[in-house]
Amino acid sequence: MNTCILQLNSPLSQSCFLRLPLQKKQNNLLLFPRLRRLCAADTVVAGEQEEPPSIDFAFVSPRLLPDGTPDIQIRSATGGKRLRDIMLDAYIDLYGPYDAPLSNCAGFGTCGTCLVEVVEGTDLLSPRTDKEKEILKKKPKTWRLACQTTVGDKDSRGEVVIQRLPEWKVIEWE
Amino acid sequence: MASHSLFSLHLPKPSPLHLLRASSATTVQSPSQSLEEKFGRKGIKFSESGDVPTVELSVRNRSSLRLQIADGIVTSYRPKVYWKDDGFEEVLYTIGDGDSSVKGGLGLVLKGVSPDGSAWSASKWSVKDADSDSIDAVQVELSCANVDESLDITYVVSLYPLSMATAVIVQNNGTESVKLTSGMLGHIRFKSQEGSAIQGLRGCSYCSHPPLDSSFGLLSSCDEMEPDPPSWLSFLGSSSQENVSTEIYEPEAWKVEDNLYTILKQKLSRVYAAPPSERMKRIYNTSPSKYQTIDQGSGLGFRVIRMGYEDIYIGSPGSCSQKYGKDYFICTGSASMLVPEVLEPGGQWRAAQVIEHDNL
Repeated sequence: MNTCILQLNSPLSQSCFLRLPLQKKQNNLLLFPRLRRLCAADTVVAGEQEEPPSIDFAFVSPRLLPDGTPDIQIRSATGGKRLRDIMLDAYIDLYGPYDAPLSNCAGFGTCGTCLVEVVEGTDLLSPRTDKEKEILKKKPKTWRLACQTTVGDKDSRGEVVIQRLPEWKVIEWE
Repeated sequence: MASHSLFSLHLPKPSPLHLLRASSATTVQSPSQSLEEKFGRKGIKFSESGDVPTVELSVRNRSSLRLQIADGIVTSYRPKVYWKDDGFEEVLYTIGDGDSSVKGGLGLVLKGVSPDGSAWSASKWSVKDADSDSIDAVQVELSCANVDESLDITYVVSLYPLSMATAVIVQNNGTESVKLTSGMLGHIRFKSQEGSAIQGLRGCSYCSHPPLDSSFGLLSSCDEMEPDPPSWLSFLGSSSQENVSTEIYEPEAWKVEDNLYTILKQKLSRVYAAPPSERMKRIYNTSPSKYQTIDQGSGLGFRVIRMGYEDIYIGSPGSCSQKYGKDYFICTGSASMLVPEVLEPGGQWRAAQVIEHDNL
């Protein structure tokens, strides 16, 4: 509540921030230059042939940093695993307030607390399972259960941008 | 003024009420009186403690912050942490009293190397502006310039009811690029050596590294002390080398933090960051943007949020803290110390750190 004083300008309502034009760098100086490189990764093909296949992840926190920029954590992982396993192995906060030992179903697909919103990379993810369709009936189509979603397979490459804890998010994605 | 602040308050500047002095022309005002007239506001008070001009910021819930102007050291931060009437706790650890030998506290270290090889560091600060909304946010801007005036350095210290923020903005007005190494290192006070830890760094890589050299640092003089006596756990025959108390500085030896809590009982000095060799790759794991200190003795915790900086420095003195006093302390903060930031001519670099708490 006191962070509202620290907001720079009007609330951010941006389309996928990965496509922020480069001249915005002055306002968002604290966005890593690597995020621009992530955008450029689509066009640079030569470099990718030397690395083993992996998928790039950007996890966006629901709250902004005190200066108004988004709080992003970048990870890299091989595909073929469930999104929940990728996030927990990378020590990313998936459950938020439901992180305590018996507060979630630990991957069974029944509690609905591992909600994430998929901003980019939907084509790499498996489609919604029946369990998800049941639990996420009233939620937007981009929301998924991380424990039911499989990200690609062992040879996939690509980018996935995930909004954590979408019920508490501040940024409106297009 | 508002355009320079990282945390702009969007306020119209109130016209200051000047107290007309009936003194004769021969009376000389003390420097803090002239600062008070020029910049004083509700919640911002300039005074002199000993011989040193200081400014005291306070907000409506009576949290306060004291800043020494000339060297830019925050010597005291007392937020309201308990609901009772007098529920203020001093967060920072400072030794020395109001004279020029104050050490500890929280300060900005900003060093640069000009293209001709000469090294400089930001040391003499003067007040540039002050702003307040008289209820919940107050801010003071200090500025400094380097030797040949090519860099404009602004240091903004702000106080809010549940947090304090420090931000630095460096503007390169010269014609050559400059390499900057910077950090905002604070000495946080703990009630007990046994129950002090940091949470939130699990999964982050770290290496042993000495702290940035500064005029107010307390840890650098701890190196000559004898190593901590090994804890009794090491006698149980654990084979890991981590129980050896003094860490040898090996900047190339990177490890990953496995523990949920980083215990700060023994002497250590580490930088948590993505290794510089990783940063050259196309993609690398970012280090956490916030971490929390835990003090089992007082039950308080403070969160440190870093913006613009790449590394997190954590140093704890171990038993060396007894040299300074009864309380335990650690030195921690955000920094860009492993890889210098390059600032091109005409460019601007900003970085900030917020210390907040939700103990209430």
